[in-house]
Amino acid sequence: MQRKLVLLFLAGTVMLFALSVVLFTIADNDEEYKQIVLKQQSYESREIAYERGEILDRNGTVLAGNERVYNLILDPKIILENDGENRESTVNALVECYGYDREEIENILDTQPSSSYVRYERQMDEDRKAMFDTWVEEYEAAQKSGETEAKGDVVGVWFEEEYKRVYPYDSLASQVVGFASADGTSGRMGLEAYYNNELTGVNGREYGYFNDDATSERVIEPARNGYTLVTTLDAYVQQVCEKYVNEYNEQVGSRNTGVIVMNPQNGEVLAMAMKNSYNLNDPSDMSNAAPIEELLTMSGTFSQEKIDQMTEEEKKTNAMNEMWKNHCVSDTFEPGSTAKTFTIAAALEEGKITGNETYLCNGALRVGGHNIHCHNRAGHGVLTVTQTLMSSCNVGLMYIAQAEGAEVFTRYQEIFGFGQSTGIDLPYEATAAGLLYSAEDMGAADLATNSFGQNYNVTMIQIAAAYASILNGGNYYEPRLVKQIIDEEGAVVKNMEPVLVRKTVSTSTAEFMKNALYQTVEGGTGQKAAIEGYAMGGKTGTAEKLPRGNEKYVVSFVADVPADYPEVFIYVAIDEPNVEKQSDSSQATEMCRNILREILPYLNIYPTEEIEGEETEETEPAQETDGEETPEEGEAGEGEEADSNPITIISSEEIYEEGGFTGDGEADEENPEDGENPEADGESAEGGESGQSGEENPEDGENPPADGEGQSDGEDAGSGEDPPAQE
Amino acid sequence: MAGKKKKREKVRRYYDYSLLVTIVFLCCFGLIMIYSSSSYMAALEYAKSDGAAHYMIRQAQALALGFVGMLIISKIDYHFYKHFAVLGYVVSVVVMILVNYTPFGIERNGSRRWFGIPGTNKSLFQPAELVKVALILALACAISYLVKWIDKLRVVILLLVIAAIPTYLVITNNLSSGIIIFGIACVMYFVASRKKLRFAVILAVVAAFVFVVLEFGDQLVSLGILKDYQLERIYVWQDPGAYPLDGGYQVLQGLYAIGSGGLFGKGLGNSLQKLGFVPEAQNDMIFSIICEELGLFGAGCLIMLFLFMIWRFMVIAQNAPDLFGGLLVVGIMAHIAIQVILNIAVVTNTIPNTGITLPFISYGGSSIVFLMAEMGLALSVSNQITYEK
Repeated sequence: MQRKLVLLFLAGTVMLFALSVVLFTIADNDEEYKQIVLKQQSYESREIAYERGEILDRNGTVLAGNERVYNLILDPKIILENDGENRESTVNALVECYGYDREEIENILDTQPSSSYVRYERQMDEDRKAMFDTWVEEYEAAQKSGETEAKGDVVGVWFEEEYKRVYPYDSLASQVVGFASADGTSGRMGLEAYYNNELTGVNGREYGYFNDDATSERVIEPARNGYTLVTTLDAYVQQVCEKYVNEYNEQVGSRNTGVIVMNPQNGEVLAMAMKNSYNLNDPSDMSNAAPIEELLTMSGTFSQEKIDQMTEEEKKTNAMNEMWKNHCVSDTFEPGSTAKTFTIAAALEEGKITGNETYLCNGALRVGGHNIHCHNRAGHGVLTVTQTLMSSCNVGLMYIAQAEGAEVFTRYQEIFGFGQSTGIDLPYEATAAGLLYSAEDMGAADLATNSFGQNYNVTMIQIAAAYASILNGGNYYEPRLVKQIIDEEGAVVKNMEPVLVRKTVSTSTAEFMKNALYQTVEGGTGQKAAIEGYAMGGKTGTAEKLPRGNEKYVVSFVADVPADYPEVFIYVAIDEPNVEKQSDSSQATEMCRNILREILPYLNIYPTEEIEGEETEETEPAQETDGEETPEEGEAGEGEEADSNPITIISSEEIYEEGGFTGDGEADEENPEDGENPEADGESAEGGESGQSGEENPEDGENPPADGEGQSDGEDAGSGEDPPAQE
Repeated sequence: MAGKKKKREKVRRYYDYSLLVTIVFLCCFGLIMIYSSSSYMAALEYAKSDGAAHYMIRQAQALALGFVGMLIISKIDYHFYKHFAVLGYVVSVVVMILVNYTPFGIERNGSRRWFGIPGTNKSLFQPAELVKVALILALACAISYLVKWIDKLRVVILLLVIAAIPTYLVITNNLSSGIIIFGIACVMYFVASRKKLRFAVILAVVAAFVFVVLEFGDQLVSLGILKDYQLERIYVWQDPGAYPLDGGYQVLQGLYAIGSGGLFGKGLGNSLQKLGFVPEAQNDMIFSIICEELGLFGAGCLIMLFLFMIWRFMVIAQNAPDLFGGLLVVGIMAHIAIQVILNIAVVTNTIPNTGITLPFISYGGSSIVFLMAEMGLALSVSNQITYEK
């Protein structure tokens, strides 16, 4: 046992000795490993910033880009090295070059002597950075030539590269583009938020690496920059739209104004403009927007009660969010008469009407025990289907909706995408799903009012997408804002093809509707929109807001050019125009006309019709294409008929008579916060609230019956139940 | 050596003070190194609680407990512990079974090595450490009873079974501890046995196995003898530079630390590698930080100190009053020697990476408490040595 123990001890000794030798051989690489360790220290956390992807318009104009900026970094550890022999010279350099506060820098050196990274100034531009380099160069030269007595080098100051998000056009398409956080890592609002994953890249890295000989090498793993978005927006069209929106709100004013310009053939959005655009380079600047109180009430997100409870700080935050919001996709409202097109299209498509019917309008129709008036209290007389649209006759539309029935009507609301997300590539899209009737809940009066676009809510983009589907022959495309994603070299990463969601109507129905819209501008309520030389379609809309009888309206206008094969669709909606008589839709019509007049030639859409009278001189090739005027020629007969019709419709007011809907007092008390802005809750796609209000609001819609009863006088006066006059 | 004599009637009792001093020195040195290697990361991680001293405080607490235990154990005649041999063995096996197959086992860093209260995720101790003490005691007991027939096949098989059961239970989750436990058993048997050839055969078999693993690792994996991650470690061992970010990272960073230390090191507290580069620097890899800060010189001194300690064990074992005492100390000696050698071998990438702590130095509460208990046993044996003056 003794010997064995000694043997074991010797074995242990030998092994430990062998390991010591191994240790010695490892330590023999002394210098090399020292370098590696040192390099690891300096490289480990060195990141190379990526560049956030740009956002371009359809022609390559940069809507959102980046600027290279520099952060000034102090390295106190290095500055204080060697007993601080370079301390004074370095501080001098900083103070003299940039005029920094000497005390502050000395303070940093004293309090953080072992730190290697103190960010002293952020986001300096190229010139400001160069100032320092030049200063140091001159200083060193002076030292060499003996011009200066100063000793010591400038050390421990370096510049870190970064990118700063810039928006060359400041406020252009602000609510659509959105903005990104200052460091460009996350998008807030708009396309910046929706496409954040595509826009962000991956940071690169600089690090020490060991090759086969275990010598260290400096390796740079480059950053992968974010992808660039090529949008469908057209900067010029957008500018024109914003110009008129801003001009209108400066001169006349409104609660809100929205414009959408779209290519109906593929759902590409060319422009989307609204009130209160803000500077994307300084999104918290509210100086150009409406006052805070006005912003808060703008889209009805907050009830007055809620606003009163807010602190000043909350008010400001909420107002800012309202300002940033894209009202064209996030706010809902009652569309009014622009939606009549869909009522007629549905009836035609389902064969409930043939298009040859005529209806007698006596100024009101008794539905479900109430008299619902036409905007023309005197009555329009006998109208064809086309003429009901031209004159925007509520009575005619009620007859048509009766022919359809609630089931067909609601089914087609679904087909046209109401109450659903359009799928547009923007965040926070509202659907207003809770503000639509289902076929079971829909009473006769609800159907009647729905037929002319009251008592249910839509977003602007829903109306635009649904119109586009009729104008292009029945294809409902997802409206979209981005058509291509490309990488920094310009190679295509993803092509965003038009997404066909469904067929809405057949070609024949689409043709009928296009013609009816054309006739509306030719000889109906849309005449004021007509631009000489252009064959265009259009439809007015005037929707009375809740609570009824307050004389508050949303006026709107849709138009398409050219009428036979529309390449441009425009939708203008003005919420509560600041005029004596809000129900006059000419406000929207005029803006629409002004915008079209400027953008049509730009979009290479030229007049196709001969311009009458003296004006001919200024237009030239209009006659060339004359022969192709299908809508005009095809419907010439009907046009005559319209002329021969004793009723001429021209008043652009088409709201149904207020009488039927006034005295809504009860309803108001029940739903005070729904008030005049049913969209308030519908738009915020945040859980419970929207669901609740969705149920509440149809009840609102059911109020007309109750109120109507109180209006027995009006009932008697009205002509009651006139059956549709069939031809 | 500074052996001090105690007077007790006619015969004087011996007490190995040089071993005691070595133990105390190693423990204090360990505390300093734990603080040096862990303070930076602890300050970051436990900024809101203990801060930089987090690991050191906990180690000091365990150490204090262990030290008191050691002194008490050393003052009791080691024959008294014979009565606990069977009990200790059974308890350690039961605890291992509980850890392996019931919710008493708690997983840390992907290995189920901790005994704790089910559901609380609060761990109490690592039973593998208990197994080491219990097995040393049980084997010393068994061998001293059976020493007359020690080379009979039946006895060999019996001893093998005694050693194999805990080894198997430990090895499923903790390869390195399993190797240590079995190594201890082999050494104890080797010392008691009168034969030599069979040990040569065992060594040859182990060497052959290592060779097969290196040459035919892939086949062994497909046969299920070797696990994937184990083979991977072998590849990493052969060329750690090829896996700088995966398996080789720890070893590679340890090598940089050793290499950059040079002959006299960067000075205590000046390690750069402990700033988050060497993972768990206060644990398995603490030897590399010692090399970096104290250089080859410091590391050499530490190795010499361990060697001195082993030599003290040998002396105690040789002079032990009976075989039981001798075997007890041999087991303890084997434990310390194997663990020190394996730890340094891992840190220098001489063998594939496996988690082995450096006795007395590395951070680990249950490890230090059981280690101090073992030291108590060794001192207790030394205390029974008598001599006349």
